[in-house]
Amino acid sequence: MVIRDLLDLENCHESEKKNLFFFPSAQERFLAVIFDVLFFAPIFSILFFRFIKKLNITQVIAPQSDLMTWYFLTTLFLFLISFIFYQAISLYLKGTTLGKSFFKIKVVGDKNTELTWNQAFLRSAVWSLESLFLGISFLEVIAHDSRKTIHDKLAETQVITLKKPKIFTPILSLEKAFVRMIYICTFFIFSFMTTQYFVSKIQKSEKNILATMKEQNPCENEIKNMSTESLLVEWLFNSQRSQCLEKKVSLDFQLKNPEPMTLIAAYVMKSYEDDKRAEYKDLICKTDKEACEWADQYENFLKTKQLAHLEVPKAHTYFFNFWLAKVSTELKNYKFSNEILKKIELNDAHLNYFLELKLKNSVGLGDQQAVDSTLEVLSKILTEDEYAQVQKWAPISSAELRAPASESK
Amino acid sequence: MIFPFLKGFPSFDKAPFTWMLVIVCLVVFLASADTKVNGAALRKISKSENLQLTGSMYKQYLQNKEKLSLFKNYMQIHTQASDQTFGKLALRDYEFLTQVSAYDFTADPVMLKSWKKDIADFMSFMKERPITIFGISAFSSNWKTLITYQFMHGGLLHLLSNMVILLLFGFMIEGLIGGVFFAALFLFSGFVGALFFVGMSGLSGAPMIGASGAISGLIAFYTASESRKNIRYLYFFSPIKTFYGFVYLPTWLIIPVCFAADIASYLATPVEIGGVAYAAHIGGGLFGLLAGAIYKFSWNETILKT
Repeated sequence: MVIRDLLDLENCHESEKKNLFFFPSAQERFLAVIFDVLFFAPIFSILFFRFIKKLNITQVIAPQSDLMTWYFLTTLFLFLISFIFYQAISLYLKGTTLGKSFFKIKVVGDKNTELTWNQAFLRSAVWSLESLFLGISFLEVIAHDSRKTIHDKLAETQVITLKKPKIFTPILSLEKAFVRMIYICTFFIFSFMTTQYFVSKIQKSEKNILATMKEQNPCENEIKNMSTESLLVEWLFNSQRSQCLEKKVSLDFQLKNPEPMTLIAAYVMKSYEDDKRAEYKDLICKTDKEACEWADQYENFLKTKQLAHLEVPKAHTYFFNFWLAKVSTELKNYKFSNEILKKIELNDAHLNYFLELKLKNSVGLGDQQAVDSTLEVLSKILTEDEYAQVQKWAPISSAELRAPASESK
Repeated sequence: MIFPFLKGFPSFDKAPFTWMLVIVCLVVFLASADTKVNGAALRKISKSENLQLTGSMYKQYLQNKEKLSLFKNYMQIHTQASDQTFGKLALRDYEFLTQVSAYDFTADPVMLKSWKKDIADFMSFMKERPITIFGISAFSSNWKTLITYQFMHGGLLHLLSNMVILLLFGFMIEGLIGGVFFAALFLFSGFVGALFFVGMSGLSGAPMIGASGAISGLIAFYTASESRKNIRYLYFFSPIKTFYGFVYLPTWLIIPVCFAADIASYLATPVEIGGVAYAAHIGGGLFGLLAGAIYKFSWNETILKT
């Protein structure tokens, strides 16, 4: 006969009291589990220290990576497997674990019998699975009169206390129903989400993840396929792409004798730091006379913000002309920039960039003639949608310029 | 969270030597703040772009070293975060820092020159810091630091956590063996902990400070001398009523909860990345265990004789 509270005790015959056992509180059962984990975790860590060392290193160096997730999940899996055996062996041999023994808790069979190995192992295995899903099953302890969780029901076991009985307050049926509902809903939702996540992550092996991390290096394609000059032009075009240029320059500097273009790229990128710029210029002048002359003119431009007649070096003409065209457009010297742009064959993106830059400056100045002339060129090369976007901010004086001249690309 | 709470915090008159140690640690903490030392060098080297550069230089250095085996799987990761992490590791590697000026790195020569100067400034800064002068590190290999390190702490949380445990255990031990022996136990535990740290982990650029080694000795002493008693543990898992409180459990439980955890952490945490000196805890703990066993044995002998 199972006693739930002292009220029943009073109704029992003396002879029945020999077979009585009492339940520990949910709090004591929970604390017992915590103590078991606290005792077992260091032992587990000592046994598997090589693996946990990898986990710790990855946590520092690559914390958000798939490799970290793989190590974490594998550690969790190993811990659960070892904990199953720890619990099973303790329950089989003593009917209790170390944590449970402190709170005088014991696990017995339904008919107050000693546990068999099958019961101990099944109970521990199901317990570990339930713990994987946040251990919500412990809510069952207070939800059911029998105070049995799923692992107790499946293994046909009962958790009892060896202490003197205390008076338990009977739980209302409405509270039990509410707790059961929370448990069932949360258990299924969380189980579904967690299972999906675990399966997808744990399918990758350590080797595959390391190989993937190597491939995922940013800018790998740009560094392989584009020259320093092209990357520098892209940087002038859109400075937010400086990461790839910096990476390329950094790799180029690892060669004993970097190309002059590498020095020029570093010089241009660091143009806002006077001391470093001067040192780069010294290095440029040691390697390339023409580039050194260009750098002198560049220094003059930075000081005066005026373009004197600049000689473009014979090598890397695309970059130098692009830079010249950009600077002269920004200075609103469109005649000069147009002359430069005629010398080099720009791709569509770069051409559009210059035209839109010119258009924006003209709109800002209120130079309607320049606006119209630029729009005329743009209407021939942009698509309908692109031209419509431009019309939103550029004032159009002529009705002819409202429609794009070219067909959609 | 579960830890031994024993009889709680004592008043000054019940544990004067314990309180004096706490006050000394507090005064030293306040006096040794970095405010007097110019931290510009530290701030500059700790900027993300400088850490990235330091990290990439450190990877070049590691390529030629045996230490590569610890980080070999991570050397191919060339992300900003990874380079910055290697930069932080580099600033702890004294051997690397001392070789920077002479090492033949291949990098942007202008950035390299500026970076080497920053590293030299950082080294000068580290040599002037109080925690480096009085803590155990490769920057100041002086035998006196084996004692002085116990009174230095790295931050308020570090200090508070150590002082709480010092008060809880110091009170009990001072009651057992008296104030003078208690102070001697504290100092010798810390000294032995320091020796273990130097022997097992070696000296690095990051100074080892804190009273944890000495406190581990106190905890171990109490565990050994009162192993059969049940003591009060405080547990706290949530603010909900039934999930915090006190429970009485055997003293010897401290061994798996504290010392086994320290051994596991020491084995599983490489010195290069570790932030806690587990070796000092282990050394101090072993000394405390030995002292506790001797105390218990000699106490029992005295009782038997009388």
